[in-house]
Amino acid sequence: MRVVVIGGGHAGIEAAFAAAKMGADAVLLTMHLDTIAQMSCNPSIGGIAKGHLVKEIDALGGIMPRAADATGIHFKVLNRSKGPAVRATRTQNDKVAYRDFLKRFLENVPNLSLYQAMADEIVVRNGRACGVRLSDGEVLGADAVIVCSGTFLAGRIFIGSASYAAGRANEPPSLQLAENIRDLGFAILRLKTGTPMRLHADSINWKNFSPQPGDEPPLPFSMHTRAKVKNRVCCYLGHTTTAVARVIGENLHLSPLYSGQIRGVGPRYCPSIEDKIVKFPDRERHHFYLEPEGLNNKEIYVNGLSSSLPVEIQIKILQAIPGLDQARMMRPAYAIEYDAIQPSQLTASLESRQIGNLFFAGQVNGTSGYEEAAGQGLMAGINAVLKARGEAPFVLDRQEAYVGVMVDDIVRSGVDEPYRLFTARAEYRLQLREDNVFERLGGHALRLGLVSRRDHDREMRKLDKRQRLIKELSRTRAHIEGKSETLFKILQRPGMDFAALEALYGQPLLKNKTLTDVSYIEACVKYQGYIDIQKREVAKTKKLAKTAIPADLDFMMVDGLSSEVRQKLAKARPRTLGEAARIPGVTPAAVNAISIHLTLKYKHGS
Amino acid sequence: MDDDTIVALATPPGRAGIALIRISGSQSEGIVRKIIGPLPAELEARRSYHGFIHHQDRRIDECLTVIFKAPRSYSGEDMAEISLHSNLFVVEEVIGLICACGARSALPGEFTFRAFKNGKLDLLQAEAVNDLILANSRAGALMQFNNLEGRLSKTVASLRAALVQAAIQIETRIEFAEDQHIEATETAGDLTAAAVALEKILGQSRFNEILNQGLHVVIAGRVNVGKSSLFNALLLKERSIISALPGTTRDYIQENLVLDGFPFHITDMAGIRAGSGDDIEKQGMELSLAKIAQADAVLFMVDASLPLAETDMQIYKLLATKKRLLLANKSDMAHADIVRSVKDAFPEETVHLISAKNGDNLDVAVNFMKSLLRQMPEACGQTVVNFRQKILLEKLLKKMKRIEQMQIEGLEATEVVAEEIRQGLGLIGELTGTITPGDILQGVFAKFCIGK
Repeated sequence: MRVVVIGGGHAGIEAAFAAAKMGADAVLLTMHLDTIAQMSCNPSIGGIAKGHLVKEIDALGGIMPRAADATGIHFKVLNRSKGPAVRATRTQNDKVAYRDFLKRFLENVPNLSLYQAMADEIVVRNGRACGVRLSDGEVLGADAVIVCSGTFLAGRIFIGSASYAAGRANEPPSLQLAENIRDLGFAILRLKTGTPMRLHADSINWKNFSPQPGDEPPLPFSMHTRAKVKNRVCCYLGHTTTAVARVIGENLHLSPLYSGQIRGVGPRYCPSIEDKIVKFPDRERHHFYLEPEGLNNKEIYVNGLSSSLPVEIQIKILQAIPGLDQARMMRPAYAIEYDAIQPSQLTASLESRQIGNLFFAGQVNGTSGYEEAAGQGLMAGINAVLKARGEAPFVLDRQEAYVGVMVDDIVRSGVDEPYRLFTARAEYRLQLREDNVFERLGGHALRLGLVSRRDHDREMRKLDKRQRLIKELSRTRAHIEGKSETLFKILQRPGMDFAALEALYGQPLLKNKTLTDVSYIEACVKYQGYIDIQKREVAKTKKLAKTAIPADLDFMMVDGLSSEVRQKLAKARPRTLGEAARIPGVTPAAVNAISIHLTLKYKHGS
Repeated sequence: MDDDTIVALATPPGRAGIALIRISGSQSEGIVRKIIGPLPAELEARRSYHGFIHHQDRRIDECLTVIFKAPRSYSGEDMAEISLHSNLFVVEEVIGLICACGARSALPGEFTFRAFKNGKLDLLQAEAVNDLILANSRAGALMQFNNLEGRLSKTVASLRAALVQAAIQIETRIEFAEDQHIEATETAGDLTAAAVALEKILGQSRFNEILNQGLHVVIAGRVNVGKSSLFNALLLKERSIISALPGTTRDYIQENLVLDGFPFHITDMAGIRAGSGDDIEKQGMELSLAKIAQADAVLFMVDASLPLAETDMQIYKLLATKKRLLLANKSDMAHADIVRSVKDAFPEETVHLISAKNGDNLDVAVNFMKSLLRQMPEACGQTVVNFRQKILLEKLLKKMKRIEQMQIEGLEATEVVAEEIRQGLGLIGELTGTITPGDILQGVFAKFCIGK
């Protein structure tokens, strides 16, 4: 069985690795072998919701977390001051090391072939993908094809009024494949994203910026990481000035975003500096971070100054910022426009609804972010193998993983701007934590052969230790404010944490505890009431959600639906009432109408 | 399960001219044919047929029958309506017969539930239909009509907006507080203002209850002062036992009176007598005190023909916070010095001389009651809050206060506060019907009177 993956980015790598691990003959096609696993934009992995994703990828046997740990040069847990559910790990990475690590790793994966070639066409026979035609005419036969083309499909870079076709700076775009995908009948979105300039470290006056050190001790992502991770660099925080706003204001007409040259839709949550200045005219300054791109080079990534203004204006902007006024730009900021497919054309296993055995993952699905891409790649890789084997797809629920939330969001509702994961997208956020990731996904991983029995059992023993302690907490009492209470109840008090509980108790409750142990225990105790409510909700929703909507149901025949809702339903094609209910604009009354229609249909036996 | 046929009495149980029994479901016509005759071979829908209800060879009652064919009926199913004489025993027997033919007793609200399921009504309309039936007053009915037009939904939408704002704020803090470069575009959600608005709605719900259910007026006074006579005079009919012996009206009697389109519930209290040794009467008196406490206004009666007693003064003290009208009864037997002593004893009151027995000067009481209507705040005409809505709004208020408190104390983790806000939004969903899990629907429909 052969699975061909087009594209060697974060999605393609996970897809090929998962497929190979599940026993498929995986071929990873890339235009340029030296740039597989390239971090095209920021030099970091993780962050809020994204860190959660990376941990899920780890539990499902993915490689991104291990690569991030191995090449991490700065480690931080974000939202430390908030509760366990929204705390998230993030690393800064040596980009070159990251790339090298993954290339070396993939070269040693049994059943996985790296192959440098340009994919021009997906070969489709009888409505099923059965191979990939390369630019030299060769056809690679395949039982399943996964497209992970990132920003390369008909990519076009903009810097000021200059624009050229590219998939990434100085790398050719994928034009034939873009045309082929349009020809296959996919609805295409034109999206846009951008990246900031890189500066020479020696030309920055660092005194002007405030250091942002990593955490001590630094914590890794992966359960496989045995070696101690270390903080090796520091990041720095800086601010723009009113002079920057003035420079941008005077030159806005030169930005292709504002001159109308770029028509693609960019992400609202990751605006360019010109967007920020225009949208928030009252703010005197905007912050940015200076992040090293690696240990063995001098490039500094200016996180927060992404732009599509001409190079000379970018230089003027830098000159208006104390500390960057002498900075030498090594690579200019640019915007890139690219083709993505509307992901509502995919099933929950990321397979095309129109063409069987053809999967899509990553930025080509209208998402943004390395982590989002990797999560999809993993799911597509697993599902490509399952499909080729004729087995049932592997779909994660919204209540069990952020991967599930993300895939469900994009295939159900489609996207209208680059999609990014947020914790707020999860209905059951308190249950989707970094600290319980293996509890949520370990069983799936073992069943699918994504983790070893040994790793699984080790993680389960850790879990067992935590759960035993929680039971212990409700049996042990201590005095607080003159009253005897169980430790469980005491820990539930607002403001109380595990360290304070141990202090109150007068002796350690758990030996050799890790931050994950503490986080897990605090979450289970403090969220208990909420999680109970959520579990009841889940049970109720599941009951409704399970009611199947026949694939051939004609929504035009359902009484009591507005034409707008009919169109939405026809487009999204929900498989169950639960899916229908979650389509934006589909009211409960509409769901009720469908339910009644189904009942009547069933009643009359037609 | 909805395939079964249901039956219920649609009119209030008890003695009256006509009772209406409703049947809904596919067996409706079949059942009618089994128990009613003679009927023609073909029954035309929406036409009434005269006949007799019979059980075996015995005629039970004479009746009129109308049948409806789905979907052109209230419930959207085949239906039948039987009008017969309203005698509890007869009605019970007939419903029993119908059930013996394969129907079952309807659950509360089941007819309307079926109408809803069959797309005849939406949820808010269904609820408004019920409240319309229950609304006792013209104003109450008008307000329910407003609800049909979404006034309540509008009020709730502003509550939702405040919660959404709060959610936006807190979610922004969770996702972007640390080192992301996004600026919050929304201004602070004013939860406090929303909570105040919600409290106002709930405060008004008392007035809305008044409009919906009527005003409670109690006639209070010591024993044998003529309360029952006034009560009867006001109601223009003999109802309570009038007797010259003190303490005859041992319990209380309540009757409805409609003035200017508003219902008044007039309560004739047991006479209040100090130091009574009669236990039953004592119970009645405790009840009297409780009734006074609940009353919207009190008609306080003294006897113009007898000197004031200590009991009069004690009763008056109970009325300190009440809207009240002082009536000196038995004007036909009044003594000038007694009337003067009454005026001296209650310097804050205007003394109105009446004769309940002869009907003299009763307008003063009627006008007093009408004036109560004018004193009700304008705002109460805006929104009606029914019981289900009230429970949810109260929960929501509690939730909003909890969120506020959490925000002030700053001890709970951000995501926990966010969870509370989500739950608040969930409550709003339940309220407006945008989220209607099955059990909520069941609750809504269980509230309906059987047969509607």
